[in-house]
Amino acid sequence: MEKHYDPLLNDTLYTARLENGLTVAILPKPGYKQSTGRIAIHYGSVDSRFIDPRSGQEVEVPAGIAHFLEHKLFESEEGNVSDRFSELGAESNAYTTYTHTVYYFNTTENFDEALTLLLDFVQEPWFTDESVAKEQGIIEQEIRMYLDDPGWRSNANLLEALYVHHPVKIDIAGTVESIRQITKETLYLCHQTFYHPSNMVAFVAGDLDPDHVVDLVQERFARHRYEPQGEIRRLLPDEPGTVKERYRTQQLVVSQPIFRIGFKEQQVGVKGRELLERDLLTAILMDVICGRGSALYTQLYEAGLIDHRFGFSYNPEITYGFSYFAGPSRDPGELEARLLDGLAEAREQGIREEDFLRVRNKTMGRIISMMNDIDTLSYMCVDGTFKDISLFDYIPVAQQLTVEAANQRLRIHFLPEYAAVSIIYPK
Amino acid sequence: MTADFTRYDLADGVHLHVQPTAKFKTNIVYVYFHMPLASDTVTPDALLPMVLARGSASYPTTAQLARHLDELYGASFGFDVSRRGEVHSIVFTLEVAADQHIPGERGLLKRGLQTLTEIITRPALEGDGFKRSYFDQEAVNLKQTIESLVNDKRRLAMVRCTAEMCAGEPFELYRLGRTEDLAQITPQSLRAHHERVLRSAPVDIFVIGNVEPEEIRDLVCSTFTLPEAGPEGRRMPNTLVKGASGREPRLVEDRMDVNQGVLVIGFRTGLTLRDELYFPMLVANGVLGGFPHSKLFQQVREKHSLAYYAYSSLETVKGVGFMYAGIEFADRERCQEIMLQQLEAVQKGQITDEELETTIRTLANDMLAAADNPGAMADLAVDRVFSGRELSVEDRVRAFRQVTKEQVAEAARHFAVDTIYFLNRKEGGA
Repeated sequence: MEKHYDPLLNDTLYTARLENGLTVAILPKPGYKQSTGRIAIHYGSVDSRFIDPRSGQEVEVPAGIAHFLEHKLFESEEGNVSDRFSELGAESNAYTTYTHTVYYFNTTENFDEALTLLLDFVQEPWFTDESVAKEQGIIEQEIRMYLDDPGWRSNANLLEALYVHHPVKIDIAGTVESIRQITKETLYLCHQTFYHPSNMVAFVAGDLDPDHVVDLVQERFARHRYEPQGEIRRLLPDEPGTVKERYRTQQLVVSQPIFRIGFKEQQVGVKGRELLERDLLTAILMDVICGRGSALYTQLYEAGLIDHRFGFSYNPEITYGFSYFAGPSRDPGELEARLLDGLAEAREQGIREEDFLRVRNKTMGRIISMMNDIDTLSYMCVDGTFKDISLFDYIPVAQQLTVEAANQRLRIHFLPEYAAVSIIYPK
Repeated sequence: MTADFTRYDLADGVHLHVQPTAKFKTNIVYVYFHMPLASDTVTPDALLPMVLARGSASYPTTAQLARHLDELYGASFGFDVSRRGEVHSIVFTLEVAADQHIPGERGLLKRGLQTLTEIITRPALEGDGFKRSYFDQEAVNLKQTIESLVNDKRRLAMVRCTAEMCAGEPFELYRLGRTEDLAQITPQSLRAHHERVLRSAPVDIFVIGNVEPEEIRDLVCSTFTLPEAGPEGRRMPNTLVKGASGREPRLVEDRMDVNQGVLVIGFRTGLTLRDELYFPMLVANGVLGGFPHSKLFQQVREKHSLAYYAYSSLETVKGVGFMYAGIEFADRERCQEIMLQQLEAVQKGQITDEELETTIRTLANDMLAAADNPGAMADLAVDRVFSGRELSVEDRVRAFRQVTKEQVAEAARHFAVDTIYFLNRKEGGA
């Protein structure tokens, strides 16, 4: 087991790699009443085409199957698994992103029993035709709920406009039509392929003994036989740097238009500290140029083009990435024009060192604050693992960022030729 | 380290609550001003913090204020208005990194608290009113924010059900106020309202972090200075609590161009956090619909496959509750029937040992876990302000564990269905 200590955070992170390939990460949180146990699978909604490692055959499965599998795994032969967590006093849940699936519990008691249950149930799929049919009804209502969610639709439409082929353009849950094509056989195939220890990470945080946790994880995985499996070949279509369409609009029952502009990442295939550096630099740039402390924000706000709900973010993934600025606006066209002008001006002039340092300090403070919350730090740790980014990379990488690197990044991102705009108009 | 908040009465109606803990890497401050929820103040209450956040005497522009907070290692300042019962609280929050995590830093909390005080008490003014441009922009922003309730269909349905059920009572008011009030508010009248809040609202200040209570008391006394209370003093507003109306449940339906219907069944409990049946009532809600193991989720979702979400929740100051689910339009009657059957089952004591035990476990777990989250800790402390009961986390866990099936059924028998609300699709829709 490796031990990493961060003097600034005053935290220690333990990591181990088991013989079967499973990564285990443990973050002791002394004094915390609650502990969390998580198991993450490097399998998300974008992984719908791959080479079956056993047959060597190319397989394409219906959109939304990773999320469907996440729902279905909670049903075991003995009944609903989340009820068994509840009986232990633990609250369990799961989520699927574009790139990974996570099952977790939080508890203040019976940690060992809950961790055992977690590690066992993800390894023991049990699907029947009836239970698959029943889940289709539930997930259809989940999809319909999102169809009425303007924030969600605004983002989904942006992805559809930004991407020509990449499956990130398809909703994580799939569509009402695609989930009807899911069968228990395809679910078993996906489980067998992706739920292999070498494609998984176990993460725990809480007032816990790391050695004991590793022993327990080892024991629960030893009960199942896993043939060594090489890296799973995921098949992604070639995605051009250009966007699919400049504008995408939709009408919904909303009080005013919702504007969102996205910039497509041009340098994909990067991971580790390089990806993290790009992530933090982009986030700092967005804040310097368009954060509350900026002249551009003041101008847009005072013109009534944005309000306090305006926000921005950068989403760095290995196979894709994009930044966005979004918020309700009385005049999306005017907002777009002024934003693009502001970004062009910043690109020409570069950002000033004092602004860069101010926002870098802010970023440091925010990273420290994120380490308070078990759910937040768990998300960061799990998400980072699949990108080769450690929880303890954030502070040192942030400290080393320079204004020169930021300005270099500014010159290649936020270019109008790689932008797409999504607008939700009131019905 | 003490396990609980240390309370200081700084002045009549002004209370400081300090929770020292070494667990967190930041120090967090919450300041509550409790106003009565009333039609003449609800909108100014919501508008006030929006205008205050735009600038202060020393940081007169919004950008200057934002940059100043950034320089305090990303101090987060925030505000909100919350409604608990018929108390409308204006809440300000501040979070700053603890000095020990920032090399060479000293006194971040002190500087943060100075800034927070400045924002709350020394605004950017023009003559005897708030700065006109800030006022005008925020009035528009508040109008847009109130109107945007329609964007969130589930919340809209809950707010609509509440307003219908409590029509004629202050509780019908939406926490962000009413757009039609905005035309009557001026920079001067809002400034007068600001004074009224500072002089009449009871204040609760919560500080959570790696701090010494005595030092915090001295710091708050020297930094956070409020004007003298008016002749009426600072009085905690009352809430009107009503039990069952005795009338048949009323059906209310709104129509909108949506993809999914939202069913909300509003009920009166007549029970609050001051009642003996408080803990049994929370367990009753847990058995009925508070969690995924509860009857509503198990029946509506897991058994009948009608919904993705199906829950119940309680408001424990006003004494009302809701059962709700997002469903297919055609399933409304079926879903309503199943929900009402579940309520009836709890009222008749048709509760398995497992349901009771699991619910108590989950509630105890939530209670204990609150100690790991500053926001949840502050919520519990606010709860104590409202209940007037000095209950520690351990007391609460113990109280949950003593709840019996009979008590749960007894509490649930106070749940009287009042208003059934349905957000339906437009007629002629597909």
